[in-house]
Amino acid sequence: MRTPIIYWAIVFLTNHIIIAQPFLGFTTGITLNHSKQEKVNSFKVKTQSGLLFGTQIQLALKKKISLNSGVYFAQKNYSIQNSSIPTKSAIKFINSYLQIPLGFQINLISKKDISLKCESGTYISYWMLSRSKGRAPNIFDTRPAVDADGNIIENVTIAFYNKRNDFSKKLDKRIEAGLLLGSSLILYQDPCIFFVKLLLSQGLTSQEKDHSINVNHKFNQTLSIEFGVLRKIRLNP
Amino acid sequence: MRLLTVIFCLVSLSSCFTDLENNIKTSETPQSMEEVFDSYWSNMNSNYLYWDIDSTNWDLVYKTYKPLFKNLDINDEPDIQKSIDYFKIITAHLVDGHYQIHFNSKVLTYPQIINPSLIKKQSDISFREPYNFQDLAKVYLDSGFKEGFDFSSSGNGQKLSVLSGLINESILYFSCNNFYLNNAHSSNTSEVKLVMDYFFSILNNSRAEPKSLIFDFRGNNGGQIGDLNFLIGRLIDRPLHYGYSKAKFGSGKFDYTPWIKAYINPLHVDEVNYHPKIVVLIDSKTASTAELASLALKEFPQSILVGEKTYGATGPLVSKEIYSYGSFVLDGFMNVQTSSAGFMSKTGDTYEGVGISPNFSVMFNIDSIAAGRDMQLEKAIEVIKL
Repeated sequence: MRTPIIYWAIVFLTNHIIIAQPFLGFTTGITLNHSKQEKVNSFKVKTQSGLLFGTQIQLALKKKISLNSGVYFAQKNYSIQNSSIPTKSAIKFINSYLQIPLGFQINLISKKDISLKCESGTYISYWMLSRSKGRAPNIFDTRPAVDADGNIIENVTIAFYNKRNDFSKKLDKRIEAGLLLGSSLILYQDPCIFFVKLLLSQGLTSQEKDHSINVNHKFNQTLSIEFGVLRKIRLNP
Repeated sequence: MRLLTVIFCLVSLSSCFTDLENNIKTSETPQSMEEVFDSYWSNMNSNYLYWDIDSTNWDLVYKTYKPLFKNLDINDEPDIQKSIDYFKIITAHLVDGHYQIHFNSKVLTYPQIINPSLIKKQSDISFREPYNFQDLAKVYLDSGFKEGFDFSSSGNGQKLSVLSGLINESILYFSCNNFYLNNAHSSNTSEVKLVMDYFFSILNNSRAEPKSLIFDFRGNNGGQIGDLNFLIGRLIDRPLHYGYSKAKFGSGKFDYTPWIKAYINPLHVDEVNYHPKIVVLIDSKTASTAELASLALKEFPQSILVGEKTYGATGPLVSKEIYSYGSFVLDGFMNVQTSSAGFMSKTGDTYEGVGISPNFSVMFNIDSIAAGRDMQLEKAIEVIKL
């Protein structure tokens, strides 16, 4: 089933790229990432925001269809919190990816210089860096205090940390692939395009390798809001 | 051609997607032996702390024992007994020194306990039962020493026995068989409070001129970690960094917090201007908080450990209100006790399941004890005089 799809996709692309008008530019924005994973004990996974920026290339294939790609730096952050304990321990994972999207934009509505497009496609990304930033109770650092009766009591302290994580070849899957779906609002000001894009990306590969039975896989689900500008490139001066 | 490669890679990677297909059925109140095994295996997978250093192949345990448990009946006592035998084999090599399973099924005639680290030690030729050194130590103490007992401070009826006195008017000796000192000290009627106050008064008076200290933690099986501040916090005027701890955090088998610094905090704000020579007596029964106390005292500039290698149970047992992982319960069948956090010394050594080695090794010698001599304490006194 896949082979004919790939075949027709290539036929379609190669036929159109020859006549495509390229645009090149920059994009920046924010990501809101959630990590879909199995719940263990009393932990809650929470969505966290991150940064996104990169270069984007657009090939106008037809009047209503264009191909989008580029190279992005995207943060896919999330946090886990334990709300059931008084210390409210939490870790924020700051995960930085280098991402290459490949999406098709189809024109839905056009009015003068403004148009609304929908976009779908796929992406591949490489997990470059990971940091853990959090707070945790530290039973090995209790602080003595004197209670109302004059007795010494021990208060558990909260440790704060911010640490770069080392990747493990055995545990971590650093290549991620997934699907994209979104929409863009575009303003044409020849020779430039200004756009605002809302894009949902769903990781189809998890952050973990199958290192043991019953691995709890974590899948990134990212909503990104981008702002950018593209400029027409003249191929034949 | 490049485009073809990119598209092919994307399609191939998409096919790597595997759904969260979980055929392991867990329950807090298992109704069959298969559920008991699945729940136990799964809880261990997420709650057990030492997977990063443990040699037990947990996947192989699943593959080997799942079919065996499937054939057992949860309402049949011989079958439950057979499961306990399986659990003994499964847990035999777990590194956690605090690990225990308490079987409390109503079908069993009497409750049973598995303690893998104890079973392992019992199979060693050098294994011995705990010995109370305090009676023998009194022979070496000057007259006027203080001793006291308490049965209520531990909360579980465990006897707290404390002894303190001077040796040759220059060495301050302190011994306790567990760490419920602060609890006992809080009670005005406790004999232990009198001993502690005696020890602290000599400790405070000795600030004028440096004296030597012997902490005797032989046979001390641990207790409350807050006692480290209560006892050692009197010897310091600034936080003493003596190691690191980490706990599990997250949904994965290998999800941990980073190593976080462990401190003993001073009890007083006064400056401590004396640096006594410290000898810590340890033996194969020195465990848990007593091992942490030994490691903390080892950080003092002039400190030496004398005796035998310790038990090797440095991870604390803490309520789930503080750390969310560790011990767990399968209602009506078993309570599993396991460490809530791991400990690593300042030098990066972990002692779980291994024990702390002394600087001067003096083995337990029953013949010397029978002759009224404590060779380990004698070595401690000799080391101080060096």
